[in-house]
Amino acid sequence: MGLSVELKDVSVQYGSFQALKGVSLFVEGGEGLVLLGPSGSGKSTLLRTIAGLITPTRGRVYIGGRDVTELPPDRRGVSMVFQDLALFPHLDVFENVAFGLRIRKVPDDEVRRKVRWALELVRLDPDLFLKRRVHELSGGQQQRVALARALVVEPEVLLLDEPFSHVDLDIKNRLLEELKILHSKLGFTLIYVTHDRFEAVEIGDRIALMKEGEMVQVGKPIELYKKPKNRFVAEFFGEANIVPTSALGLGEKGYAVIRPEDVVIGGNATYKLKGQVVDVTFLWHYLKVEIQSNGHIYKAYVDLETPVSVGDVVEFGWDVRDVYVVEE
Amino acid sequence: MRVLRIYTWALIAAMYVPIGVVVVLSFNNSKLPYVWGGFTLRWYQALFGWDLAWQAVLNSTVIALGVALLSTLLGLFMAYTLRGDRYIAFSQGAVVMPEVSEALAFAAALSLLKDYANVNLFGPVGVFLAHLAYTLPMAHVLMAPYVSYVGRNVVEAARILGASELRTVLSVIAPILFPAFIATFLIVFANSFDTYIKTAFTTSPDFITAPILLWNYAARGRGDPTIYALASLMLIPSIAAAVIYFRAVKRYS
Repeated sequence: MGLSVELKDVSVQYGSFQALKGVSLFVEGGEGLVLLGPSGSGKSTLLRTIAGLITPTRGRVYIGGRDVTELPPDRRGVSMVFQDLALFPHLDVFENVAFGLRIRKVPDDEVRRKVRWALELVRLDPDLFLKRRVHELSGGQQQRVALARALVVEPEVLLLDEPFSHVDLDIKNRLLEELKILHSKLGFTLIYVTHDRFEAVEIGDRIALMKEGEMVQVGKPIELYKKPKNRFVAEFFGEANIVPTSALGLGEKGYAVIRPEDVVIGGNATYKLKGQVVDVTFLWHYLKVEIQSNGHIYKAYVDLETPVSVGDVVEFGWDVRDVYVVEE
Repeated sequence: MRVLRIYTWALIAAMYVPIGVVVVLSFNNSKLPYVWGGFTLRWYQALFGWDLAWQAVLNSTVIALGVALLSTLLGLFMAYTLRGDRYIAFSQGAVVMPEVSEALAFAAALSLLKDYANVNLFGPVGVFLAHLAYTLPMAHVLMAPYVSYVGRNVVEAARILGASELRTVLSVIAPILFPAFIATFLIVFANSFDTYIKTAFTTSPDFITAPILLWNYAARGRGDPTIYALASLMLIPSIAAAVIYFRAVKRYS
């Protein structure tokens, strides 16, 4: 079972730039948590602080309840997969994966056994790959070696910093699927950094959404989607129609969040508007329709059979119970 | 384009044909450079019996080895410390500084030391320092791209996998940088071994290096083929350095 990870009021300052502004977070042992946010939001800084690569200017870091704030990375017992993988270019696949075991002075025959075990975990045939040089491998294979290298030491906590950002979508999806299986099979605590919300929902039991060095909202994907804390969460975590409440007669301050799948065209809506269709896009299992009304573009995901085309003037709307109001 | 190609080859010829001529003349069984008297090794035999030449080559070798080892080590540390830093521009500037003015400034400094502090460094120490002043920034500039090739993440990956700082240096940084280290060492060695100007400004009459000896003879019109033999032998470390350099650097592609 993985160890819990906790950050208490962690700040990181680079000169005059504050990369983290008093962030607190609790990740349960064995949980899969995704740190999500746009670039510059501090999510990588947070991950590196957990790893011990950055010492916070203020605040404490706990792993398994133990205060590790002052401990160097080699004494924290976590594993990490880097965005650029950081494989050792002078070593072959075997020695790359074996690195952590060699440091731990594991006997040779056990090193061989464990390296094979780790390569099999990530679905690389040991007999084919052990002696290969890392630069001879494809991007996806290098990803697998990096993952095997992190897993071979059987970490309690696995940190991943946008690990699959350099591979094709197909391979990325397969790797995500496999990572998920490994996570539930091996039970480590998984903390995964990404800027991609699709990746985030694939892997995360919970999602911690960050912006400009602050933790904006932490929760299950459905909580962030259905009850976004503010306009930023509503926009970043899924498609949304965001309209000032004043425009809909819902009060002076705040914004109404209406998800495109809740918008209906011509059907029975309790709130109705009229507008002109400006764009229709085929998206496999639905149509994405953009409707202009009162100077605002509304997005609607509708059934493929819906008879709309660009230029149509349509009546559209939503059930008022599907409107979620945020204050800022 | 055709003109450029001809120009390029002409330039290469202008640089290398004279060197080729020297090598050919070192095997010429005649004291006259314009008469081919047949193949001989007697100039090389004469060279082997010439103590002053041996002493000069030995002096050059010792200076070049010391300079190469020290500047490559320090250059590595500098490259590591200043990686990604704008100070690298100073080093690059120092490498392209005019050789004569640099040597002159060094000679002036040594003179001041001698006259006012009564410390005479002209001779091996002066030569060593003058070479080092040039080869240190050179080693820094040569090492810098390889140090950044190691990458911060590789170092961090090793640390997270449990390696101490020392272990990371020994097991990751050193092996990755080793070929670059050897390559830089050789280039610096060849440079120090070959240089005449900096040595001429900072040596003393009793400390002769191989290039000084060559100049003493060649520039005074003493066309002794023994000198050609010495010059030909001196090509070996330079060529070896160039070949090994390119082979070593290939490992990073």
